[in-house]
Amino acid sequence: MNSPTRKTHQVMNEVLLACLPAALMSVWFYGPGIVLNLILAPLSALACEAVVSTMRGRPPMSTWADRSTLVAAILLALSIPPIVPLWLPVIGAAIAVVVGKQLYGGLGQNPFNPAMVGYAALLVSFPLETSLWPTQWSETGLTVTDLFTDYNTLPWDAISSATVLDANNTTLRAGGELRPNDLIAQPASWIAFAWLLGGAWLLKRSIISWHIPASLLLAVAFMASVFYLVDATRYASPLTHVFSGACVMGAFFIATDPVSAPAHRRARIVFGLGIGVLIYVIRSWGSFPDGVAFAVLLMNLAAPALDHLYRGRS
Amino acid sequence: MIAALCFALLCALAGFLLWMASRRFAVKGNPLVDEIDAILPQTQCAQCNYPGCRPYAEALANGEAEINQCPPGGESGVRALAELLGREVIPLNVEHGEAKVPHLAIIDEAVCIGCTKCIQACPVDAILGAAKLMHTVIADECTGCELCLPPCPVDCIEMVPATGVQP
Amino acid sequence: MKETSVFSGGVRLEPNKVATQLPTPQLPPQPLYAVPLNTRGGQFAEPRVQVGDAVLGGQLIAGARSKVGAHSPVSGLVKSVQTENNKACIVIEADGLQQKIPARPPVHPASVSIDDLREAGLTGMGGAGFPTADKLQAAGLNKPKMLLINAVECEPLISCDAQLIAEDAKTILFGADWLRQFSGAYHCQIVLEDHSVDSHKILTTALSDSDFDAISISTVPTRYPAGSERQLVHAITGTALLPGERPLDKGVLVQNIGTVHALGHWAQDGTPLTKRLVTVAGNACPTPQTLWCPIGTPVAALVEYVGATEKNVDLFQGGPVMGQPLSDATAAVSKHMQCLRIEIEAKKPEAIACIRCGDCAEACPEHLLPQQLHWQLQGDNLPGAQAERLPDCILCGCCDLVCPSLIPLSKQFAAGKSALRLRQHTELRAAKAKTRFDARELRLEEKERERQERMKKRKAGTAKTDKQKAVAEAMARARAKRAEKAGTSKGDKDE
Repeated sequence: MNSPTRKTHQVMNEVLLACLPAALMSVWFYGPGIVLNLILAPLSALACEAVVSTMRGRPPMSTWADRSTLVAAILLALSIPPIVPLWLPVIGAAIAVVVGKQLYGGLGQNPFNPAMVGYAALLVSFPLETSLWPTQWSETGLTVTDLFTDYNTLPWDAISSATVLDANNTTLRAGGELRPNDLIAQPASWIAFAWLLGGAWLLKRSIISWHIPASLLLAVAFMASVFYLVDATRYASPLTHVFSGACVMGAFFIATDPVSAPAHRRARIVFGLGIGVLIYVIRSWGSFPDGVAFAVLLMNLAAPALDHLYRGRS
Repeated sequence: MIAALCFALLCALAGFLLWMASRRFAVKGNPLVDEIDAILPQTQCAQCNYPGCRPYAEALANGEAEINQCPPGGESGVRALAELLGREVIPLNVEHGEAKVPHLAIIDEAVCIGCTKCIQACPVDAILGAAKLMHTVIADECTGCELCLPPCPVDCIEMVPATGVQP
Repeated sequence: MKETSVFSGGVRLEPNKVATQLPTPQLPPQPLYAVPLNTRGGQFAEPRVQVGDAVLGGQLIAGARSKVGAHSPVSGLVKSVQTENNKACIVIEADGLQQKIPARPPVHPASVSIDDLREAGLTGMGGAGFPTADKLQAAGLNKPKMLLINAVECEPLISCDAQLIAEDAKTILFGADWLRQFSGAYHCQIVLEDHSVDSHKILTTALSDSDFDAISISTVPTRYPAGSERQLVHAITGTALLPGERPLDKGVLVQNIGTVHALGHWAQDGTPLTKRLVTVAGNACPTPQTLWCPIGTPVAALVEYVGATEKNVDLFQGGPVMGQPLSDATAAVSKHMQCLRIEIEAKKPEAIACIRCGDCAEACPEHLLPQQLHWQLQGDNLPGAQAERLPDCILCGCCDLVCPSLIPLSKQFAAGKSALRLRQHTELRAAKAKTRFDARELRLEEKERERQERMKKRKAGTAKTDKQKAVAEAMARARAKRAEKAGTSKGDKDE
């Protein structure tokens, strides 16, 4: 009688299941590098968690049972490029778990999304390694053993390929004009579509509510439309903005993390709108090509204030 | 030259605004004393060695008293004061008495001789009676301060635990 | 069947009702009965008998006309009177004769006062135990248009209402119409859950055999907590009650069907409330059943009667959702004990941290955010919890049922609610004490000033006399001098 229809670890299992399409799609495009990340990040995260839990006087495996660490590590692994030095996912996951989660008191206590803490730390510490995206695995001509060789000796000039957002930035800096992007040709768009599929599953299973993803995507699309209509040669189309970078993933999997998001429905809408606007602002006028991680972290900071603002109303 | 002038003008404007604000939002009395007074339990028992809650609040605001001198406020009272005044939480000073459940004075009406001494001692006028007539305590108004106990010449006042609010 | 709208939130639970049996089982007579003197809502019935008094079944033993009465369930002797705050009771030693107070003819609603009902010992029998007379007094001021008879036993297991309907639908209908007339309502609806088909059939038949035109029967969908007063009114009227709004504010008076039955009984022949139906169930109860128990029956007698021999059991008062553990087996059946659960001692599943998933907010029928309340109460932030509308929590336990982290939320909220009440009470008292203290200070100051003024006046008065004295002295001296002068001149003359 007193057992709920689903327990916390089951919720997390569903999230993992919802990550599957995007993970498969990434592997399809980017090959074994993704698999390696997907192995290294969780291993590092779980090991760190066990160590910190022991130091905090908790049973080392207590948080393994709820799967939340696994979710954070996998989201991180799917955020970083497929070919990176092997220590990168290890360090990222360690920062995510130790700094992003355990230092605040573990499950349910972290003000920031742990995966994004880890990702942002990597992004500012290793800007080169986190922004070099290879072309599709089949076109690189690399073998699996190349993943274990020295990262710097890889033929980056031959195998790197700028993402849509990167390419746009470069064009603008060079004083050129933007041309419509061929999204179908981009692996990122296909992966974004896979995230959308996973997000729909989460919505259907009512693991997440529609408020944050809807308002976030709406805000990005709205901002992009306004500026696109003003000057299409300087600002990319809304479709490009939504379907490139980590926008869809952020909308359904990162921003919806209930621990670091507000609880009130109206606060959630404001939260989503804020992230959407920030994503667009950082992408268009900031120095980073994508802004999902920073946008989410900034709005995480505002979540308690939003909850305070809307408390007592529903 | 123009920059300096602009700056001076801005300074003047800001100063004026501040002055306006200080006039507009001026608070009457000492707001800190009121805030402290709001935390104190208002038993007016004088166990803190001040003649009431407000005088103690004034002493606290002036930094003349410790925050652990109020037994009726208990540990939670000390914590609240510590938070408001930015001081360390310290245990209650037992010299002023120990924290206990709220009590209530009851006059043994058979023994009371009607001397009115307790009526004068009660800080909240919770004792009714007249000279040479029996006195009684208004239970709802009694704060349990025990100030009526010492003056009673026949020791007819007893403190009993007050029945708290029922859920 | 009338279609009704549903309230928001809630949880779908399997009814798992205990089968009704006729005739209703009755507990064999017990040697001792401990009649409780406390009612919910903090009322305490003053004892009106002393140790050694002989009492009859149905005799008033506690409570004056301003407090809910308590009556002896059997004839016998008063063995002890305990007035300790939480265990107040009167213990009756039965003499086995089962003598009762004489019956009186039926009374008409117009000839009955609120105090009569209070003396009859009626309280809400659906679990909350609120004094019926107090509710009707409030109803008298609000003039309800509709009377809702609540027969929605939304909590699993509890089957008192179904048993009552099966046994005595006639008295229920009589009581319902009597209460309708008493409260001045135009219409009376008896509300059932849509799974209780048998009860619906019995009531419909009984209603068609009677001539109560103002009574109808309706159903609400099976969804916990449909039997909660606020949710029931929402389901029947179609609009939710606002926070702080009571059913009476919408012109609806809600009464539990058990209460109505007891009222009907009393109106017919003057029998006060001295017994109630109790469902005894649980996984350590071999023969789940609903039976008549005199108020004051020791719970141990019930455990023995149903044949529960398991040693390590936990006893609960109430259903599986809102039920509270009974501290000891010496507890007695009270007027609001619908259910006694005998469960094999179970280790409580360990709660893990809240991940704010929001499942509880979906389930909450009052639109609260239990995850926020939990957050605030974890930090002992009572004002914060109040701002998140903690006082509006109805403690239905829906959040407990859905929490994936197995956090005992409603328990925390219950504690928070009473802490908040205590705090408000203390603050109110402090404010009152402050006003009185300030008034006294002002008065003393005034007195002091008056005294000072009087002193000054008196001083001024004495000063005047001093002056006068000085003047008089001066004048006297002058006179003396003059006299002297005159004397000398006279003497001079004389010389």
